[in-house]
Amino acid sequence: MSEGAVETILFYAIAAMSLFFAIATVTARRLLRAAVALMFVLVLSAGFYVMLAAEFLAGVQVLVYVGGIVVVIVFVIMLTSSVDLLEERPPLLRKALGALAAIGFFGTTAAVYLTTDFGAAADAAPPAESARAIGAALLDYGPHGYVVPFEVISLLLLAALVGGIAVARRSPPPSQPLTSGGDLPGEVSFTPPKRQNDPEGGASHA
Amino acid sequence: MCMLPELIVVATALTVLVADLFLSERRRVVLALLTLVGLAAALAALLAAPAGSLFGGRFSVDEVAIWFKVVFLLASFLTVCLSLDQLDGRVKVRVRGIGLRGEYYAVLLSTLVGAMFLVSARDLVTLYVSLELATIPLFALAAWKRSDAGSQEAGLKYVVMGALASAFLLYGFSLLFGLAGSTDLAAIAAAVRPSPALFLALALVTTGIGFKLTLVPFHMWAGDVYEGAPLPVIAYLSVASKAVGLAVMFQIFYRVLGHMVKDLGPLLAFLAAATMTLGNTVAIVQRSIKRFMAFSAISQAGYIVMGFLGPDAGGVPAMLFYMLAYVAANMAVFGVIIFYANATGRERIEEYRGLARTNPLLALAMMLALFSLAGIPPLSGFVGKFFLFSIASKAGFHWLVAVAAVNSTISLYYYLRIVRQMYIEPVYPEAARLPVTPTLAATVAVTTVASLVLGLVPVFYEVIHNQTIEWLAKLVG
Amino acid sequence: MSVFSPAAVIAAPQVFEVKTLASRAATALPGSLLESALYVLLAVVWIVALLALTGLALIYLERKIAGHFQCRLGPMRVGPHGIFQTVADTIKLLVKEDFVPDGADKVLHVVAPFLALTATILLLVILPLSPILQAADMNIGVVYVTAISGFGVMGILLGGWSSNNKWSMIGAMRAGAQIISYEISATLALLVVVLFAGTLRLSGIVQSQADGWWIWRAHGVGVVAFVIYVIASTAEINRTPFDIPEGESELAAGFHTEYSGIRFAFFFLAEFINMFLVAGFAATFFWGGWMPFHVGGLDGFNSVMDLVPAGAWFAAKTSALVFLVMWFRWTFPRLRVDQMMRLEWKILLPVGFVNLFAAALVVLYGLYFFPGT
Repeated sequence: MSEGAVETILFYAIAAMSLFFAIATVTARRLLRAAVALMFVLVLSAGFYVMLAAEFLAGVQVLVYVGGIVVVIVFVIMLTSSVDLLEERPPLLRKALGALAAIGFFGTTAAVYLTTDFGAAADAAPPAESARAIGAALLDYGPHGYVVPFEVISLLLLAALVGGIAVARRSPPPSQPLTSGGDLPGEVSFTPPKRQNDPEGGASHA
Repeated sequence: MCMLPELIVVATALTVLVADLFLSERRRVVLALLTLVGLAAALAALLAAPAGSLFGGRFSVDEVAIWFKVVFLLASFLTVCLSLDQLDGRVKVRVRGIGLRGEYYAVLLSTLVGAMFLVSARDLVTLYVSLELATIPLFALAAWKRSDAGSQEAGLKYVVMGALASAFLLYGFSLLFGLAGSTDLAAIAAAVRPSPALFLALALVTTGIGFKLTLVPFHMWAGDVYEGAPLPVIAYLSVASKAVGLAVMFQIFYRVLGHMVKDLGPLLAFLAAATMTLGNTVAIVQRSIKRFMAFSAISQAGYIVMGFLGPDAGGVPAMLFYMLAYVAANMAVFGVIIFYANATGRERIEEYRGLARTNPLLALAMMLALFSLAGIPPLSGFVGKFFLFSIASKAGFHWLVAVAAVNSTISLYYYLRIVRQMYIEPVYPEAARLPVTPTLAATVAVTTVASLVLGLVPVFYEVIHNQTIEWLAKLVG
Repeated sequence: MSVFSPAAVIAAPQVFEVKTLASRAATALPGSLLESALYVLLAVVWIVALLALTGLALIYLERKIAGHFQCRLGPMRVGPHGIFQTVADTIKLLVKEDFVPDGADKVLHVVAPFLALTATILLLVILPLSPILQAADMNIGVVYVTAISGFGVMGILLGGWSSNNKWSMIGAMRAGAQIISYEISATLALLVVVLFAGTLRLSGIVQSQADGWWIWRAHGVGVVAFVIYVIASTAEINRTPFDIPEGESELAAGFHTEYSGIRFAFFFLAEFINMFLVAGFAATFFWGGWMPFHVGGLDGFNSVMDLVPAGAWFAAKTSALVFLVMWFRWTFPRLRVDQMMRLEWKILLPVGFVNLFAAALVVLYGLYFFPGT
């Protein structure tokens, strides 16, 4: 029993299922079913990672995409639509154009991949213990390290978080009735009803 | 310590965010001042610090990077100057739902940091992540008018299109990595050879960049986003965000493909021609000043891309100079637009009638800035365009120069539409002199003078040229 | 095969060779396909048996314990002290009409309970009950544990949504919000243990406690992490005081309101096995799992402790924790939604971060017991 055969069978099985769910994602008329199909696509991608001996990446893939992103997508769908709601069928012209674009792109990429030798990247050996290697590379500040993008990502997450909350925040919090809570632009035009002990009128600073 | 400017900006962003927490609503006006001080300090640190590299070459600052960062910092500084009146409420006509000043400045500074890291990146991962940092916070900023459906729509459209562009870019990057087996830009440059896969990668990357730079046909988001987003954010989008796209394009086209950039000339020339033509023709029929500026900005992107056509590295200083001139002129125009919107809430082109009677100086500034955008001789826009056109013509793209010249003429027509409204059309019957806040007046004055001086005094271009050209000669062999 | 030979342990103190069923199957594969397949079959049978028996036992225990907490006797009729009550209930559930409400999304309604149960089974696979009683072991164990929890949420969310019933949906939304929030704290607590053990592999984490369980060996940070983990994972499995997703006084039965028959049984079983899993993982990470009570350096004492089989240690620790979780249920009142969110985001999460940071310092400077070994 050769190990290669098992891996090959496994690969094609995962690939076929992945394709099936990917098509289901874009053709499902119920949004939530599309999200569930998407979840399976993402899980199966984790399967590919496992086959490439990148177990840690596979774990993180499931953790982030299924446990995080798909759950958020499902939340959004649950908050905005109902079970009975069906996506409208696109008109035939749009379908045809979409299919044409997809097939064209697929044909191009497939042709390119078949004629290209990705030698340099394929030869790179996966590290023995991927979690440790990834951790070390992320914090390595030498010429092969990724500490700059690591820190940039932390800043990105912070900015996205602050921006997201700022956009999502609707009304002033009940504990701060006297401030505008950010909803009104400021102190010149906005005078709180009860404030008396401020004779300067905010002119003392800046 | 060549990372000092970035660190100062990060520190400012965090300080603003935390200070916002401890300040009462009335005291939060100091946040803008804090931001401006931080930006000025970063600019000083940038000009004082020598070029160099950190982390074994993973972060490195060279002459081109410094000039890009100057553009980013100036654009952000001016954006903050234009924002603070609206955010602090020193306006006649209040913009609904805009607020949360601390968060606004912090998020704005974050995008700036992303842009600054981006030009110093020397590997694909940092490049991509910094580009995301420069882009994603802008989605939130576009939707910042929270009770305004138009702003929400702008944010949503920007997110969707931005995510799509990001996916294309990442796909292209992954192909580049696959071809070279390394994320290092220099290593990729050494490894790649012209091949179908490289061209596919390039097409995908160009798509992604085209979104940032609003190249036709990847410009669709611009009109709607500019229409809905808050005005200062549009000013930033049209200038800094465009410079970010230019920086990514520079990183990929010069650092990675330096030895074959001239083979891509026809493709880029086509993109440039399509972009400026579409931008200009569509701008003619716009009635909202915001959409008008969106298409004006698209056409400007078309001119800038011409700089990549150069047979040698001469295009880079020309692009940088044009970018500086564009920052000055565009910010001056936005200064007046924001002033007018703050004072009257009017945002349509025909509503600018009679501005020259009520506020002659501002109208003059607007006129000069618009002429600079159109490329009228003594102004900096003309000088910048002259250099860009000469690059294209040196590279043999005479047809493109002709197209660009025709386009400049068209643009003059539609820029004159505004001038006509301001100077010739009768003033509103009840119109009186509109008050101008000191910051806005100063901003408009400085940017207008800058767009004059940049064109009249050749020393600026010479400095940029001399500093960058020697250094670039190494990249383009 | 559940008998763990004490003689072997005494012969080689503190060295436990972990042989999972999966690894046995893999070693046997080159020699005999049949042997390998048998091991896989054994693993499957083991998981199914564990699932069924633990489920039966826990449901019975819950009712008995509930009874005694409330000065009642609990089930008494079916069999001596009612021990066959759960069997009877199971048979009743299985023969009940399996009902899909009109207007529901039928496919998802059917799929959801399977998803929930699949997540539970996938976690059972990796739970180390003893050095030989573990179906599979992987080098990303902790990440796997955290990642699989996501599936469970999906089962609950889909079940609630596809029922097309507002109580179900509100319950599902609450469950989703609660689980993804508390997952963060639970993961932060686990990371503390990962820092100390230096590995993500579950058997490795157990073996790293050969000189003492992390809850005491890691000084204060171990205790804090343990407390955070127990609270957060109690919330993750929707047990009282965090049972607002199915709070019967306000939401009928929450996300499984519209479920009946065998698919209700799946949700129900998944819920009880999850309690067992939480207790088992808490024991594994903080109380040494199957590792006997050892104190580094006291070889004689450790050998005496090794006389008790590893599986018994695990069973004892897990039972204690299961009892603790059941005790919570009959002691604490239910939290409101906002109180629950405040507890997570304003208390547990900051404490968890500070604790993780402190743990990193403790590990860095070797401030815990027996750092050399």
